[in-house]
Amino acid sequence: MIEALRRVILWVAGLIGGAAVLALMLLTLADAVMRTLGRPILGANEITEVLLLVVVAAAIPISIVSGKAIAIEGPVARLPSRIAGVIVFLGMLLSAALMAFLAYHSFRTSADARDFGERSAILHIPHDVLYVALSVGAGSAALAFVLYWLIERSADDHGAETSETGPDP
Amino acid sequence: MTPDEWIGVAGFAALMGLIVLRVPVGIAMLSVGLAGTAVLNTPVAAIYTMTGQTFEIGTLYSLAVLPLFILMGNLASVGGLSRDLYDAAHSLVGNFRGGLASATIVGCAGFAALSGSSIASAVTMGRVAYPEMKRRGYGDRLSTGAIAAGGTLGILLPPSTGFVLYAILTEESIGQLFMAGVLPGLLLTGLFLVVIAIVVRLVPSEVGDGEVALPDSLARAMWRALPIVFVVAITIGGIYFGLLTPVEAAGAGAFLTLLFALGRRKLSVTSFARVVIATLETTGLCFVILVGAMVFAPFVALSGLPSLVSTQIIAAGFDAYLTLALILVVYAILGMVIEGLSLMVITLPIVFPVIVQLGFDPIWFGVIMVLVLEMGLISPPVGVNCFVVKSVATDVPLSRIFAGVLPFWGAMIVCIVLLVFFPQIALLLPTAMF
Repeated sequence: MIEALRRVILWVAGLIGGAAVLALMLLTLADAVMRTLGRPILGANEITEVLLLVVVAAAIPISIVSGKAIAIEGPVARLPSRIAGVIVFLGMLLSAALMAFLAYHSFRTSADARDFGERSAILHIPHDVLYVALSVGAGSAALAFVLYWLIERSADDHGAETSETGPDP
Repeated sequence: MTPDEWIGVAGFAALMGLIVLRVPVGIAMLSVGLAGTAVLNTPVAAIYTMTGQTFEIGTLYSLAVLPLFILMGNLASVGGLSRDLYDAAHSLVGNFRGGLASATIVGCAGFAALSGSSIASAVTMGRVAYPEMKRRGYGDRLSTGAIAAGGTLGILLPPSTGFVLYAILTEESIGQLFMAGVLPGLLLTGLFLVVIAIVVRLVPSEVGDGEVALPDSLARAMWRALPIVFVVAITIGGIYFGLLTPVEAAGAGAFLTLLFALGRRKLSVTSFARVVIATLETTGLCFVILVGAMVFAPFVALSGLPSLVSTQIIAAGFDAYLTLALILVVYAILGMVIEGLSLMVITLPIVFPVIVQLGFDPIWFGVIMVLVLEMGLISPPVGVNCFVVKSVATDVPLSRIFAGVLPFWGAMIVCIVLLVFFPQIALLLPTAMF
């Protein structure tokens, strides 16, 4: 179940984020070429910004669920495993809660952006949709923190089981 | 000290506490920034800062360079460009004693021009160079030290994630910072080669039973490395001559590297998927830190700590260079325990105003900052590059790897000293940019 959820995040975010990165690459290249020819793409910068937001919203949960978020491991690793486990759990709780908080408030801000009619200057891209994307990314990041903690815990349990049983003769 | 300044100090203490308790650095900064702004201003203002800054960072045009240059580095790695670089470097410097180690450094410098990450440079070149050096009986210390130190060139030579983060946090030009890294990067490459020459002379056993035959004629090796030269010329040259913005250069570089990888039939669906996921992973970790830093920085500014520190330092009447030396020593020490990029984003809100107040050039300090981060990458106990090299050279104890990087660490100090006395090394290209 945990592994399946992790795969879902990797697949869905990977597909969306990957498509956005490739679109970003092609767009910036095409804009540079067209500008040299004297016909720059209208609103290319704004589309780039939208694509970047999609990349970021997809990339953050991926980096978390893959355990890539930068954290200092050393001091906690030296503590007794039970205490270390509690600290890691609390850290996960804080991280997930904060991301959920960001997701909730980004969603609320999207309503404000819609009410005030916030849009980009050239292409009039509505900002509320972007805040929703941000909210989905932050929500997925919250889920990713929980999943990564569960994955780490099951790996630790497995390790403890192995060390209790001892190696095969 | 005012109550606000005390809250600022408490915020830093809480941040350090959270980091020590293994909370991800970006999340620690985000939570302290949020709580601190709520206390110093209002909870509503804190929430607006959080959502507003996250949105701003997520849609900042200039930050599109990050995923694109990361993609370019990953594609270069999968596309086998690192092998060609290594062979070309070997043909170039292989005639000298310690040629394989020198080729590793030159290869790393070349790869650094395709990748903005030190870790990627160390892993990619390490996989190619270490087996070769091991086969020829090179000593563990020289071989692993050269890979770990060479890898650090990844964040000094453009494109560099370190420069991108520094530029965003200090509102400096990414293009100028990239250019400022070129000459110091080449200087450091040269100093690393000097280190190898000295080590080989002092400890001849480090180069084993002699040199290998050169892999190819120089012309042929250079011909195969030509695509890399082409990509570097388009990206770095494009920025220098003002033909491309850093974002466009990154897009063009990633596209060309993709074409080369496809042309060499090195890219399967599986490996491409891996490249994309690896790109998103690295992009994600950078943005988690950036979001945290952008919420933390306004809190630090609100607390009034930066102006307090600047005022105190100026009032103490220390010489500007002495202050700089003290700052660098503190960085070198902190770099031993805190991961480099995190160290930079945590400390810049305090240190940067001091540096500007002392009259130093912000672009020049960016180069110094990145060099200090490089030192952290190979300093025990958290020298990330040494751990990365350990994953390639599994048979070498970590203590030997750390011992091996020591002379290169010295070369970095020499490089910093040279940059302090001759800032033009860093500032020549940015000021001459088109």
